[in-house]
Amino acid sequence: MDIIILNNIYHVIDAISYGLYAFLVGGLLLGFHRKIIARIQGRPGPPIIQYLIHTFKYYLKEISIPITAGNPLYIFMALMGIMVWLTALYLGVVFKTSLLILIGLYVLQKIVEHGCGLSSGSPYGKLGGVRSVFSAAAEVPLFAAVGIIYILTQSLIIKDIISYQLLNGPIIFKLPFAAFAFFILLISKAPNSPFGIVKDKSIVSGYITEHFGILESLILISDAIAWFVLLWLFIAVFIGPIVILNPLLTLIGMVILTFIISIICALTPLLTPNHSVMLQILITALVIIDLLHKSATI
Amino acid sequence: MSLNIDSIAGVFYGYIPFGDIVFYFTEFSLIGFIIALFFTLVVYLTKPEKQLEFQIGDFGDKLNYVSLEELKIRRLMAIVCGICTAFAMLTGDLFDYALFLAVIGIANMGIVSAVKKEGVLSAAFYYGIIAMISTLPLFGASALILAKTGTLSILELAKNSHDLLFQKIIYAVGMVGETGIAPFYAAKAEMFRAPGAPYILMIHLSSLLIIVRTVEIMLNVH
Amino acid sequence: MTPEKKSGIISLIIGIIGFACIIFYSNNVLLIYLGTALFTPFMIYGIGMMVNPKTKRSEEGRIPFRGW
Repeated sequence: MDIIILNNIYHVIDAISYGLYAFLVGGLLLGFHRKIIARIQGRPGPPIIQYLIHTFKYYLKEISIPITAGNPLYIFMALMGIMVWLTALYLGVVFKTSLLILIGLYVLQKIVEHGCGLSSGSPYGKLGGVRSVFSAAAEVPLFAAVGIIYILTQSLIIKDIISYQLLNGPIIFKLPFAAFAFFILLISKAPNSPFGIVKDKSIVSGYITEHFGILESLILISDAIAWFVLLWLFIAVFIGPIVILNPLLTLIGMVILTFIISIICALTPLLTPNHSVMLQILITALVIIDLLHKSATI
Repeated sequence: MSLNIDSIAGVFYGYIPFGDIVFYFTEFSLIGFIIALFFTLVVYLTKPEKQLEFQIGDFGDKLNYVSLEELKIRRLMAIVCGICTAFAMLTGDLFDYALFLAVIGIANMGIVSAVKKEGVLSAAFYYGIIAMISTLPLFGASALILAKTGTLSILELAKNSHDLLFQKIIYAVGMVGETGIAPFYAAKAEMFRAPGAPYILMIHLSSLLIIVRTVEIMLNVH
Repeated sequence: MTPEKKSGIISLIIGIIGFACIIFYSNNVLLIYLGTALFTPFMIYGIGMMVNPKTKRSEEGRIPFRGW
């Protein structure tokens, strides 16, 4: 009996340290992202650990719940962000289960954005939330990409996809459209991205306007874990075992991907909501045509 | 049991043995089920927020309240929507799934129909028309699949290939209309401006979970 | 007690009960990991609310919000 409890405690510590690792790596990568954007714009920029410093600073700040907020949803949404991404981290990175579950969890991120925005009662938050609903068009190519991957590998379990690539080489060369759709998703999740209409500065901070203090710190933690998980997923699904089986190579791959995305984010303007949605629908159409083509030829 | 499901939705835990049209449990469906029920609970516990709105062509802001009688009917509809979503995650029958989808569509309209705002009501009206039209492809596709294969059970259909590409496309079109995604978002996004965050959120959650589940079904049935 | 403090204590209680449940009554590794994912944020929030500084405003908890 005692051995079981000890074992369980060991597993819990394991899980928490995985989460901590993902948070630290994700936070450092997001700081790196900010640094590169600053350097391209000719500024020295903040230090790379700035993201982590922000998280700890907000964690110790006073908060007060606005009188307009709808509780407990207002607080629960910030917690749910971490729940979603920790679950994605464990199911994806640790257990390597189905890609479909991870897509479902990614979709829950939209619920978090929308819920944060609406539950505070602030007009800026509401605009951010409604814009997050608009940009749901970014997820549809993801579903199509999942279909294309399934047609190729006959499995959506990440473990199987990795072992398929061990035999047949990286998927990115076979399914460029699916990889492109996934890459657009990564870009739209990055801060300061051309698709970042949700956190547009014209609506203050978008959906996190009213989540300040510790609640903002929680959202920053979840964003850092999300960045780690999404980069890992892209590398695992499209580039494969050459990189993913070695933790050091995975880190290098993440840094390179973050570098590419930062350059794209620094060099492109923020699109208006209409243009952002239009572009995403165009990409959707492209990927769906690819899916139909692939499923018709089989 | 068929092993195709294993490679799509994670570990297959079992099914309720009740003919061939059954509820079945996989990693994916159990997580979806728990999320939907959990969220229904949160929605039940949450008080609606008081929404501040800009006035166009005027100074000052207006505070929108959700009155008690409005709250009661909307909360009931949100809970119906949540329970339907939860069981749509588990069901192993195409026709059942289409029925759940139709009920979710009706509940979505019910959630916003108590709001006394013209823009929101007209958006709900347009969404209602699209949802009504899209029941035809939805139920039509399940009828076509039944006519071609003689069964509606996802577990049976997953066992061997039936060449159902056309029927699947029609089914997906029905789902797209019913949940109001990409091309039809113009009608639905206006509904999200109504006050009462938890209930509005339920609309969003149900449609997103349904989309993911539909992708799973489309991959399983082949 | 302010509503903020109350929410912190409630979430701390939920977190501790949750962790106790997964440590004492679980025998599945996947369940332990998912339970950790579920209850860690409650713990983080609860601990954070305990170290939250005291407010200096005269009427605590009665501001509308930053955008007003």
